[in-house]
Amino acid sequence: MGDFLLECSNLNINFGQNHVIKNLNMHLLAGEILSILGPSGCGKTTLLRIIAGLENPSQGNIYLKNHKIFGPNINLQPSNRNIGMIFQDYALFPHLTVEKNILFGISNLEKKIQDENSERVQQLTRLEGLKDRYPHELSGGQQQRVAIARTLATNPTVLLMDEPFSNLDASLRLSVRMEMEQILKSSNTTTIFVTHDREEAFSISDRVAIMVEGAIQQVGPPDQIYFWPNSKESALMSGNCDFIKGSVSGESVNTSIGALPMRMPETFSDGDQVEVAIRQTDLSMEPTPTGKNIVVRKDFRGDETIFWVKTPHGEVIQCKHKIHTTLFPGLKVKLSPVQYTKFNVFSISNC
Amino acid sequence: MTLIKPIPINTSMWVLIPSLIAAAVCITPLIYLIIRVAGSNPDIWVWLMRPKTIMIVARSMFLAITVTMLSVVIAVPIAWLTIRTNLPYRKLWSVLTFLPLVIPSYVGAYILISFSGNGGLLHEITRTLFGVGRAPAMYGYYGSLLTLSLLNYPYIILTIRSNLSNMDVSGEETARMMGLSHLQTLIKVTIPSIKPAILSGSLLVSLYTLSDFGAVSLLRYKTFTWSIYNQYEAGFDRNAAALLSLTLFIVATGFMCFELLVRGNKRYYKNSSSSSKKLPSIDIGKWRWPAAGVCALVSLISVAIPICVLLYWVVRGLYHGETVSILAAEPNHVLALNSIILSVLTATVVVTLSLPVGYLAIRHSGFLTTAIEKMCYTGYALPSIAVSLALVFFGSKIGSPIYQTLPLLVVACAVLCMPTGLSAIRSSMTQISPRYEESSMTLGKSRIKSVIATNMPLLKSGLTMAAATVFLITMKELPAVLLLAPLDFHTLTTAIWSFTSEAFFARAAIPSLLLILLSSIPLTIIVLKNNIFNTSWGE
Repeated sequence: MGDFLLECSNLNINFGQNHVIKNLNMHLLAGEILSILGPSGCGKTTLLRIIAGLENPSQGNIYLKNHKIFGPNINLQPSNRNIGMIFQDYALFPHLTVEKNILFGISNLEKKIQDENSERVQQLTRLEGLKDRYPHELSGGQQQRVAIARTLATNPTVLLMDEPFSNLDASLRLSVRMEMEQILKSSNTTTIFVTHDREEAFSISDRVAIMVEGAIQQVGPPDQIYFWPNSKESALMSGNCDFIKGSVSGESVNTSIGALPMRMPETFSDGDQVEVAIRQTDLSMEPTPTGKNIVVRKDFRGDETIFWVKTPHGEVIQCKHKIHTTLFPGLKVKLSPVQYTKFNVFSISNC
Repeated sequence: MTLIKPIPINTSMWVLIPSLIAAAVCITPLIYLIIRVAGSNPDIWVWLMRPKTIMIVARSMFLAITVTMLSVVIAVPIAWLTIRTNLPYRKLWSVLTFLPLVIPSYVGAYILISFSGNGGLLHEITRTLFGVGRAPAMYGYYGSLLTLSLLNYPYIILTIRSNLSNMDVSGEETARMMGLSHLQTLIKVTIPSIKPAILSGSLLVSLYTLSDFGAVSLLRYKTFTWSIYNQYEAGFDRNAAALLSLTLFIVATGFMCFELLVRGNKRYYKNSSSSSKKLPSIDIGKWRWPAAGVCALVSLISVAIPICVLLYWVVRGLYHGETVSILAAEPNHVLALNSIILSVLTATVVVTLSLPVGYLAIRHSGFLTTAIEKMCYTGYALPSIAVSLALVFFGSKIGSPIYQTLPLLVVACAVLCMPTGLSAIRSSMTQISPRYEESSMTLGKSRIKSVIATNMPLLKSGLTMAAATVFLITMKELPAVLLLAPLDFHTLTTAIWSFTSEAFFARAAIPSLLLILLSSIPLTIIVLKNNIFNTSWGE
């Protein structure tokens, strides 16, 4: 047990036949924003609910500030954990005004302290002037700020957020996200937030945990996850990528599009059959009559154009390019690695 | 060392214990009937197979089926016309066609007899004008069919109303674009899509008809309830009464199973997500006024004439001088007060017990909670006369502390109203997200506090609806009051019953009007909650 703010060890939960969380271990550092990134149905929300005390794991321990809050013979009620949770739909009490929502969790405090707290979080979340409104009279972004304010008013040790941006219009997400990051950082709130959107996870968090099928696959800073994925799942969750087959030879890997420099060649030996992860920006394209690859589809997206390129082995790779006028489907192209790019490879038995 | 089991946060004694009590109370009458029948003389099985008994079963079922069919025929067109078309005075017809709900079946029957029978209003008119000597009495099957259909069709309108007004019209629009006329669209798309609601409304009507006691007794149509009451009153074979009650329960359960079988678990209709969206009203063109005429005719027969007949009897009584003295002698206000006391007590008990049961059923579905909920629905299939009879047996066995006391009467009414109250609270509770109470818990409030603080304010309208409906049903309840009321406890219903069964029509008129007036209060609440005034009015 280290000096972590929150630590989960060996958590398991079953819903009927479904083993939703499997031997999950994770920890949280004070003041950080950790995001849990995973496909829908991987158990992210269940993990949050377990930490909040809303679900009981069948096995495992949870420590908060080195005190056990869940274990074989202890189960602190959600009301006594001092862990705040913001639900996907915010769950603002529809019959209460903004101010009454904020005061809900601190009604047992002295009136003066209540007002101070409420004032503080209203300022922090810039809700002044809205305190007499009802939730249905607020925009999505405002509702979310009320949910944050309501939770921060109770001074939670840890704040849990379940897909906080999924209920917002795409056009609002960026601004709301930046606003929320600022609120969390300025109040120094330790936060776990759950999402299936990589961009959200990367831009807001200090560390990202990739969760696949009920277990944490990899934890680390966003760039580390992107450049050094430890598995195909991590590679896929951290960015668009295609896989092609190859065999290891020295410091590079031979594939249908040629030899590609590989990352961490020391972990493989010559002749190993592997899969190579190729990101959209890893390869450059050059039209040439002798090219062995054929452009099969072109997807113009404005700032960039995505090309689907078929290799001689029939594998299809997506390449991102700025140029869109001189390249078109049917053209033969040569693919070569962009300078300094190293490719991540995964042994086939591993997948 | 023993392991302390983690406290399952899903169970709270605050909710479980009241629910278990509710289930136990609701199931008691049925269990008691079963015990009574099981322990009885085997001869009664022979008695049950007699042709006379079989006729009773056949008559009851025939009446229930035909009343249901007639009610559907009245209700579906009216519901469609008032909700979906540009019928003139839609609002007026919507309200008028709700009003039969305040007229108890025995008052309806009494009105029919006193209107059409010998010496009745119709007879007076025909005698003066055409010199007709005897009036054709409306006793028996036809009288019962007419009375029960005209009083029960609003239940079908009530159940299909929200489906019709929240319907996703894209199906209809597609049909129209494929070249179907409005009428074809109505028959091929609209009605099939509200079929589940029509079925559940029909079930309600058929169960009410099966369990109706007042109307069939006054109209002397020998059905189950009439026979049960006579077996009991005559006192010669109480086991037979219990056996008949149980048979009635089985028939009612059969109706429920039939409905379940036909409807399946399908939900054809789709409630449009934006409920605020106004449905376009269909232009019925030259049929506007004939359609309004039909609505007017139904309102006239089921509401206007009954009220007029009652007023006629009041006036006639006053004119003949007898009612004046009776008015003074009969403490009508005491009767009314007793009716109100009973209804308020029942509504309170039902709502209090429905809350924990509804909460358990929705938040913690499982074997135990399903069983609890199902038990609370016993009153749905066990007709009022059977519940009352079972509690009479039960009460008389235990004797003085509870037999013929107000609490036992309230228990009987509560068992009968539990399904209504529970389903109103349940449907309102399903709309409350469990996230509210979870939020509250993570904000530091204990479980029970969270449940109350977040659910109760949002349940207000469901609670009002449940209380109003239970109040209305209890106001009209006859057999339970007749069988279980304390000796000195008379209500409007018992007064009306004793006057009408002895054909003192003029004396029964004032309590009947009072009863209708008092029942209008909860009905107004129900009408308002059903958004009759808020739906889109095309005009």
